[in-house]
Amino acid sequence: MVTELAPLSPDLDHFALFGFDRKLVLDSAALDAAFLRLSRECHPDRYAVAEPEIRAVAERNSARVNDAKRVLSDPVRRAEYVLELAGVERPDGEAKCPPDLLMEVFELREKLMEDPGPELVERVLSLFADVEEKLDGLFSRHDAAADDPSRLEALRGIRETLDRRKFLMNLTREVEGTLGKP
Amino acid sequence: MAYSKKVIDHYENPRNVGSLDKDADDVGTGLVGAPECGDVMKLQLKISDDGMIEDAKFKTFGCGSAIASSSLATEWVKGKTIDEALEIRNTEIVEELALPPVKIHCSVLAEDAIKQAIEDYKRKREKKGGVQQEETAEA
Amino acid sequence: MPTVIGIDLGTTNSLVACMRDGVPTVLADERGVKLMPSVISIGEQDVMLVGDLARHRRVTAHDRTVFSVKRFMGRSFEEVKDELHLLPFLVQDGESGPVKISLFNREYTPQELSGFILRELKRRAEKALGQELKQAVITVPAYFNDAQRQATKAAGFIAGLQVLRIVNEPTAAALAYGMTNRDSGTVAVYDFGGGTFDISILSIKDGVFHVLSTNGDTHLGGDDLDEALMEALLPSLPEEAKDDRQIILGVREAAERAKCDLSSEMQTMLSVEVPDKPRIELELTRPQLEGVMAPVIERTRVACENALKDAGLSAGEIDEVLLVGGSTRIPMVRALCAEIFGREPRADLNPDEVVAQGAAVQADILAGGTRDLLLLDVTPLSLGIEGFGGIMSVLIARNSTIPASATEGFTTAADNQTAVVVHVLQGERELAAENRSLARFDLPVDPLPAGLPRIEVEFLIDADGILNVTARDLRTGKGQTIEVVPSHGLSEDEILGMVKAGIEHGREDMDRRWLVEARTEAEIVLNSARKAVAQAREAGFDEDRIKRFEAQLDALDEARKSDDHAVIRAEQQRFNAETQELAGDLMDAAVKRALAGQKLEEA
Repeated sequence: MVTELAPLSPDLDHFALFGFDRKLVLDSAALDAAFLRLSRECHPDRYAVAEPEIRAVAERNSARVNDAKRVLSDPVRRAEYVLELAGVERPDGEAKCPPDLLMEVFELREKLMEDPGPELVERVLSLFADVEEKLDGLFSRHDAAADDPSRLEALRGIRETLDRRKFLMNLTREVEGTLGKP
Repeated sequence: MAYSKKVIDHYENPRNVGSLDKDADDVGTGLVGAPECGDVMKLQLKISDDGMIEDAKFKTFGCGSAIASSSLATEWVKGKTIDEALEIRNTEIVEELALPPVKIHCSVLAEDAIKQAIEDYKRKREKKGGVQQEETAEA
Repeated sequence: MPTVIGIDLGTTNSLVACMRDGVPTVLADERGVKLMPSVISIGEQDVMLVGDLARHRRVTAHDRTVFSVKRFMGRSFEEVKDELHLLPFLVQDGESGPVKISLFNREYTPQELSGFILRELKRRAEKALGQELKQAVITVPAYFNDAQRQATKAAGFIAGLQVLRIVNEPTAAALAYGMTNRDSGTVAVYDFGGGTFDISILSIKDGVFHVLSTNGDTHLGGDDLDEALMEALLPSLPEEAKDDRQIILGVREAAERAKCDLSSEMQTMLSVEVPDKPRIELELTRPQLEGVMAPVIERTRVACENALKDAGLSAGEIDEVLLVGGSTRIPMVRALCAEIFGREPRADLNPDEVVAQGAAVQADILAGGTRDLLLLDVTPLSLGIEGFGGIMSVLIARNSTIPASATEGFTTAADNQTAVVVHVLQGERELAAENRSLARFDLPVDPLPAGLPRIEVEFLIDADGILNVTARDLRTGKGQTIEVVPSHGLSEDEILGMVKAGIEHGREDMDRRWLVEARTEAEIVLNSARKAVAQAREAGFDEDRIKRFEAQLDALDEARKSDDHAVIRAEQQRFNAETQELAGDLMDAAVKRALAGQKLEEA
């Protein structure tokens, strides 16, 4: 029976916990492998007959691994997490949302309500595809950045693009809803 | 509980949905969005010369929380002066509802939208400046 | 290494299993029967009868017998009130606590009643294994919410068991399947039982069982099929029978039997038998039954589609479909399942036993026996708190791998506020009021100006799928664990009280218990023997032979009054042996009658 179990260090970020560099493009097979290795170590099933204190540590450690996996396995959440780690925030006040972006989105929304025709659907989907492509480019640029200033610049671009993506994502969902697609 | 009933009513039967003429001199328009959840909201106020809010309309593309808070906000500002309206804070609503101030971005949208709409109205008035006197004299 | 048992606590039947020489084995009772009906009945001298004996008393002692208790576990009166009219026992609102089920002038919580079933299973396992058992794994429907899981855990404690893990039934089934089929692949488990429906999608690879998604309905099972058939049959009953609780119960039994018969036959005679009342017989065909069941069975489709969607898979990407639960014996259910997944489900698993076997495997993993398997399950429902405007704000999304956690910061809105109300919810609806309220608790804060206190609350869903809450004051660093008593649940103190009562119950006089059990069994035998007498006369058997049979019957009735259980058992065995021939002949006559398709009106 296990008599001792240390909590995972709170100083480790999700990347460090999984033994990865802080990169925005991750190999999903490597992620899965690391997740399974950590799960086998941490899962409460291994400590089911141990003292309550040890079981509680196991629950928390395992939750930590699962939470990290959830963040790391989704490119958008992963990027949001890196922005948070790097302390990149949205500017305060009105500039928080560029007015032209809001205008564009609002107009598309109104048009979509009036006439969800195939042309409009096409346009929304292609706008979303564009933003995804741009994001991929920025991710690579971030990972390849040679110094802190250029990395920070990439992250600022990512912040803006993720916000645009969020608005377009809702629109895309709406469009797919009208098309009856999942 | 009474508090949620009132809000849920706004959620299920939103009031004041629609648009006002955004080019009209006595209409201020606020367009705001929450990038955290991707909601967009347009809120318009029709304001009399003595600064009284006569009508309010909104259009929100977003979750129920955003719709309910927009509807609630439009009901609140009607009949108030612009100075009174500017004092509305979502924290007040939260306080009245005795709820934990969980950070829900869309519910603060309405507050921002009211502010923007009033600013837009004031800008329009400043632009017109002296011309306005003539118009009233003619009418 | 102490043995840990695996228990399938079902709506209709329950089983207990353990690992024996590396094989998950379901433990049988003295007569070799593995399924134990989840029925509880108060016998003579207040002895609690559980299982087969209780099952036989459903009609004869209807005011002392309860069944389908699992449907009430962790549920509020509001949630169950619509289905009570078809049940013969009284279920009452327990206000903020669990519902109360009346059983012979005493009220019990579903947790206590389930505790009786668990205690009986524990006893059975101890007898089979010849050792005292203290630890168990109990399975629950994957779609059970926090309150239902906590109720199940409490039932285990009340029965004197340390519940090492609450395991999801479909996951357990997949585990039992994966023990013998070591190929990797994606598996869908379609679990349609007596009271609940679950669909789980898992990826199995290198001994890791990873649940990708789960969906279901905790109020959709064989009971609902029986009740749909009952509702369809009620109009054709004689007018005076419609308000008779005993007859309604007879209709339930007959409907259940007919449903089972029609899984293999195309038509059957549905016969409602209640002591001292005229027999009612109705003819029923499989198409008729299917017409009644179709809308109920169809409800499983949308759950399957949602589970696929959440797993990010199409039906074509599923490698195997496993059928679990008694209701999957119904041809129509199999056909629908095959249609949804576009492939024939596997038919080689025992749908009644596979969950208990899986529970035994998990029990062995926890005990430290099996080391190479790892189970990663998910939480079936999103967890959140009520936020501004009565809207649910999600903290942990459904289908997150558990254990899972989330932290949320809280502060005050008014000066000198001493508590912040946190309302925890589970469900997928946007409005808080439309989700299951798990708990509402006060977060204590020091009186300070509004907005100054900073409380960080951690919500952790553990490997049992149960919520744990801890709060930390960020200003003082003071931490505290908050006991989350689910709405309509039991507090720790209440559970401890019931555990104590259970220990006393466990020390009851065994001689008395055996006596009551023997008497009850004799009574059941006598009841069916009396029926046989009537049937024999009807079939025109020799009157002398019937008279001899009746004399045997009277002898058993006399022996039944003895205070020695051994005397009763011996007499009953003698009776069984001596009347076996007549019973066989009666059976033959009945079969002949059925084959001739002879229709009987009210006899």
